[in-house]
Amino acid sequence: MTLSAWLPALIVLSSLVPGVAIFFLREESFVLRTLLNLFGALTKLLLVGVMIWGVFHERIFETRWTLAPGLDLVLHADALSVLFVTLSTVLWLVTTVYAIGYLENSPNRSRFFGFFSLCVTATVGLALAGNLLTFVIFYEMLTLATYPLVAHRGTPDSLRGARIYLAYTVAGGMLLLIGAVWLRTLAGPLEFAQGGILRDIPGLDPSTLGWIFFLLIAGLGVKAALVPLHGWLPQAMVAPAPVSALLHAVAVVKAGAFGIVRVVYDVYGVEYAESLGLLSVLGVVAAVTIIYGSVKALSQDYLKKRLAYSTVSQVAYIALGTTILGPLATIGGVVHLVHQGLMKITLFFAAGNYAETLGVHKVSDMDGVGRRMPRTTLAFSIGALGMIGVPPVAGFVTKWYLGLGAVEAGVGVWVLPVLVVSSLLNAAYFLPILYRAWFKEASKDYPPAEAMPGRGETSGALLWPPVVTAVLALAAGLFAAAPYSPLEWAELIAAREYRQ
Amino acid sequence: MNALLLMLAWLTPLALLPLMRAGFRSWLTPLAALPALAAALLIPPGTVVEVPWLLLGAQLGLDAGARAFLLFGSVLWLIAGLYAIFYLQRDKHAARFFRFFLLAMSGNFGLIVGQDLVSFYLGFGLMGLAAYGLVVHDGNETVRSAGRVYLVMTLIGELALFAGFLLLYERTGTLTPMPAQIAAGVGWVELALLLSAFGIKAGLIGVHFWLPLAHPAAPVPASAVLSGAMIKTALIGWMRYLPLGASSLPELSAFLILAGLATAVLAIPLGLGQRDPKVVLAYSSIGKMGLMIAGLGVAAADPVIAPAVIAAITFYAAHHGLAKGALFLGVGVVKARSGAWPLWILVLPALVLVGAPFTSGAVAKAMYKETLVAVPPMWDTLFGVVLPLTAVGTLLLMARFIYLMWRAAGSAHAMGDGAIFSWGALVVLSLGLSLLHGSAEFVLSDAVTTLVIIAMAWGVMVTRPRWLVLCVGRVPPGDVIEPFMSMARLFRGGDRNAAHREDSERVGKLELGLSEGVSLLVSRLQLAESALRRRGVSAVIWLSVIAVLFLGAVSWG
Repeated sequence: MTLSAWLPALIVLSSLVPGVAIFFLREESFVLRTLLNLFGALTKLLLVGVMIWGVFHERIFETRWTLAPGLDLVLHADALSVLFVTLSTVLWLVTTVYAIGYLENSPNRSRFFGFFSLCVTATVGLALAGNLLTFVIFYEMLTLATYPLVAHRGTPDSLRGARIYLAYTVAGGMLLLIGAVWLRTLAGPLEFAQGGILRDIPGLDPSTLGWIFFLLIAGLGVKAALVPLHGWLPQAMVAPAPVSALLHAVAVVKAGAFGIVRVVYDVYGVEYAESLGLLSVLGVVAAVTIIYGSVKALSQDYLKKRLAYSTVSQVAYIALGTTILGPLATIGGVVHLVHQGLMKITLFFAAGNYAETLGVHKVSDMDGVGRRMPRTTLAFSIGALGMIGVPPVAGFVTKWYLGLGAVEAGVGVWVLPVLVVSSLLNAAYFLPILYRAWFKEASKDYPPAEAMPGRGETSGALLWPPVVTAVLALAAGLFAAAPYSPLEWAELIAAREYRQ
Repeated sequence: MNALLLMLAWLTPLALLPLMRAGFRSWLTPLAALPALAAALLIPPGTVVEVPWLLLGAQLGLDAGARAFLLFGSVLWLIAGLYAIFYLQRDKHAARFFRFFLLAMSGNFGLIVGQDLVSFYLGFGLMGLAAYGLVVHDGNETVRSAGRVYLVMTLIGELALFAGFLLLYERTGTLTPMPAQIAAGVGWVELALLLSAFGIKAGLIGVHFWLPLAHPAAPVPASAVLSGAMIKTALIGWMRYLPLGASSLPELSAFLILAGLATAVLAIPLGLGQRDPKVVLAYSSIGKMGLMIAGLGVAAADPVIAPAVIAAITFYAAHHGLAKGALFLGVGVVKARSGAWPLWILVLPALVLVGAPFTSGAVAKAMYKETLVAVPPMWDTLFGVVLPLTAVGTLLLMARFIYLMWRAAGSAHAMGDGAIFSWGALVVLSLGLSLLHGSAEFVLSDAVTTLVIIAMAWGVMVTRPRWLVLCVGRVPPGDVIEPFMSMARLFRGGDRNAAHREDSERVGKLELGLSEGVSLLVSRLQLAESALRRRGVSAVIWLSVIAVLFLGAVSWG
C-alpha cells in the first residue's frame, strides 16, 4: 500500500482515533486529554499539508473500501475537498485550543472532547468523500456527533435547542438519503467528478432528475440553513461557544453548503443543471435567504442569535455563487466557504469571550467592552467589517467575485442589488455593535483585567484563537493574489471545473 | 527605493497605530505623514510599481496629478496632526482620536498612490469609515446624529463605488483602466454610479447635506483634513475614472457643469444663514467643490483642453485645501485666545480663499478663468454670470465667518502654544503657494476688484451683518436633511413622554402588532408634522427652492 492510497484514510483517522480514546479517559486526566487533542490536530495538519502539495501537482489520493459489490466507500482528494479539509483542520486546531480554555473546570470534558473529535472526523470525512454514498454516511455521522455537543450543558434550554436541531437535521438527512438512493438506482455509483457525471449517462428523465435535485438540495439545505429550512440554527445557539463557532464556521452549516457545491458541480455538473433549469430556482432561494437572514439579524439583541442569523445570510452567498454559471461566480462561492468560516469563527470566539469573561450576552450590554477587551474587540471588528465586505478583509474578495460572476453571466441586474442591500443590512446590524463597543462608556463595572490569569484581558487560550483567525481573515483578503491563498485555490478549482 | 517609499507612504500611519495607547506617544502622529511627503517630493511622476501579491494584484504609482494631491494632502495631514497634539492635550479619549486619524490618513494616501481599482477602493473605504471615528469623537447627541447621517451617506457612496468599479472592471477587463478604455467601455449605469459615489464625497448639491453636519461636528484638526484633504479625493476619483481627455462627452459635461454651478451658487445662501462658524466654512467648501466640479465638466467637453483644465483644477484644489485647512485650524485658536491678533491672522486665509492678489487664491482664480476660454459657447454666459456671483458669495461667507468668530473669540478652553505655530505655518503656506507656481504677477484689474470687494466686506463687518441673515432666513445645518432628522428624532422617542419612549423601544424590537403599529405611526406622523411647523420651516422652503432650481436647470439644459 502506498501513501497515496492511505493518506485520505489517515487524515480521517487522525481525529477518529484520539476521539475514541478520549471517551475512555477519566475526567481529571487533563494533560493526557490535551495531549491527545493537540496531537491529533497537529498530525492532521501535517497530513493535510502533504495532501495540498500533492493535489496542486495533480497527484491522485484515493482510499477505496468495497462494502459490497457496487457499494464502495471512497475517500478521494480533489481540489475542492482539499480546500474544505484544510479549512476544517486549521480551524479545528484553533477551536481545540479555545475549547480547552473555555471548558476549564466544567464537568463532562471527556465526553465533550470525544464528540468534538467525532464531529471533526465526520466533517473531514464528508469533505473527502469520493461518492455520494460516502458523503451521506459522514453527513449522518455529523448529525449524531453534533447533537451531544449542542446539548452539552444539559439545561432545559440546551436540551430543547438540541432536540429542535436533531428534528431538523434528521429529517434533512432522510431527504438526502432518499434522493441519493433514488439517483443511485438510476445512474450507477455516483462517483464525484469535476464537470458532473449525469450529463454522460443516457436515458435519464429530466423531470425525475429535477425531483431528485429538489430532494438532495432540501436535505442539504437544512444544514446550510436555507430559508425556510433555517429554523434550527438560531435555536442551536444554546451550545457552548466553541461548539457554536465550529458549527457556524466549519462543521454543520458548511457541510450543507459544501454538499450543495458537490451536488451542483460534481454530480449534476453546473452547465447540465443550468440546462435543466434547476439553478435559477436555487438562486432565488439563496437570494431570499441572504436578505431574510440579514433582516432578522437586525432585531436580535442576543449577540449569538444575531450572529446566527448573520450565518443564515452569509452561507447563502456560497449557494448563490454555485447557481451562477461561469468560473468567476464559482470562485466567489467556493472561496466564501473559507472566508465566511474565518470571519464567523472569529465573531463567535469573541462573543464567547464577552460571555465568559464579562458575562455579557446581549448587544445592549456591550457598551464600552472595547476598552476592557481591546484585542478581542479588535478581532470582532475585523470579522464584522469583513462580513460587510469592507476591504481588505476577506469578505470583500467574495463579494467582488460574486458580483463579477453575476455581471458576466448576465444576471447582474438582480444579483448586484442583492449584494449591495445585503452589505447595507450587514452594516446596519454590525456597526452599531462596534459603536457601542468602542465609543460608549461602560454602563457597569466589568471584572478588572488584573483579576485574570496572566493579567491579560482574558485567559490566553481564549484570547489567541480569535486573534489568530482574525489575522487569517485579514490576510486572506490582503494577500488574495498571493500563491496558496484561498482565492488562488478557488481559482484552481474553478479552472478544473470548467476545463471540459 | 521608489517602491519602498510608495509602500511606506500609506503603511507608516498603520504601523504607528499600535503605539497610540498611552497619550504620550501622540507626538508620533505628524511623523506618519512624512513618508508620503517624501514620496510626493522625490518620486518622479509616472513611476509605476507592481505589487502582484497584494490584494487582487496591486499597482502603486504616482502620476503628475496624484503627486500634487499627495503633496498638499501630506502637508495638511502633517500640520493638522501637529495641531491635534496640542488641541487634544487634555482629552481623555485622545488615543482613540489619533488611531482613527492615522487610519483615515493611511486611507487618504493609499487611494492616491494606489493605481488599481481595488487599492483605490480600499483607501477610499478606509478613509471614509475611519473618519466616522473623528466625526463622533466628542460623543454628545448632536455629534452622534451627525455621525449617523455621515455614516449612512458614506456607506451608500462606497457601495455605489463598489458596483461602479465592478462594472468598470467587467467592461474594461483591467484593474488599471486608461481613459481611452473607459471611454470605449462605460455606459450610463457606470457613469451614474461613479457620479453618485464621488458626488456624495464631494458634497454635490442634493447629496451634500451630510457635509455641513459632519465637518463641524469633528474636532478642529479633523475638520481641517476632512474639508481640506478628504473631500478632494472625489476629484481624484473623477479625474482617474471618468473618461476625461479621451473623448468628448456633451451629456456628462452638461451634467457636471450644471450640477457644479448649482452647488456653487446654492451653497452661498445656505451658508449665510448659519450661526456656527464651522458650518459656514463647511458650506463654503461645498461651494468651492461645486466650482471644481464645473471645471471637470469643461474638461469633459473637449479632450484637447482636458489636461490643462485638470491641471488648473488640481492647483485650485491645493489652494483650497491649504486655505480651508488654515481657516478651520484658526477656529480653534481664536476660540482659545481672547486677544484680537488671532482674528487678524484668521483674516489672511479668508482673503486667500476670496482670491486677493499675491495670494494663491489669485493664481488659482486666474488659472481657472484661463481654462474657460475654451468653454463651449453655450456655457459662456452661464459661467459669466455665476463666477462673479460666487466671488461675491465667497466674500460674504468669509465676512459672516469672521463676524461669527469675532463673537466667539475666547469662548473655549485654552490649548498649547504649539497649535498656534502649526496654524501659522499653514497660513503662510496657503499665502505662499503662489510662489511655488511662480506666477504671482500683480494684475491691476484684479487689484481694483479686490479693493472693491474688501470695501464691501468692511461694510458688511461694520454693520454687523444681521441683515444678511434676515435676507436669507435661518437655515438649520444640513438644510434639506433637517426635517427628516427631526422626524427621526421623534420616531426614536426624542420626546419626554415615557409612554412614547416605551413604544419606540417596542418598535425597535419589532414587537408591535399591526394595528397597534399603524395607530402609533399615525400619532408619530402628527407629532412630526407639528414639529416641522415649528422647527424646520425654512428647511422645507429651501428644499422646494432647490427642487425648482434643479428642475429649471434641467429643462433649460
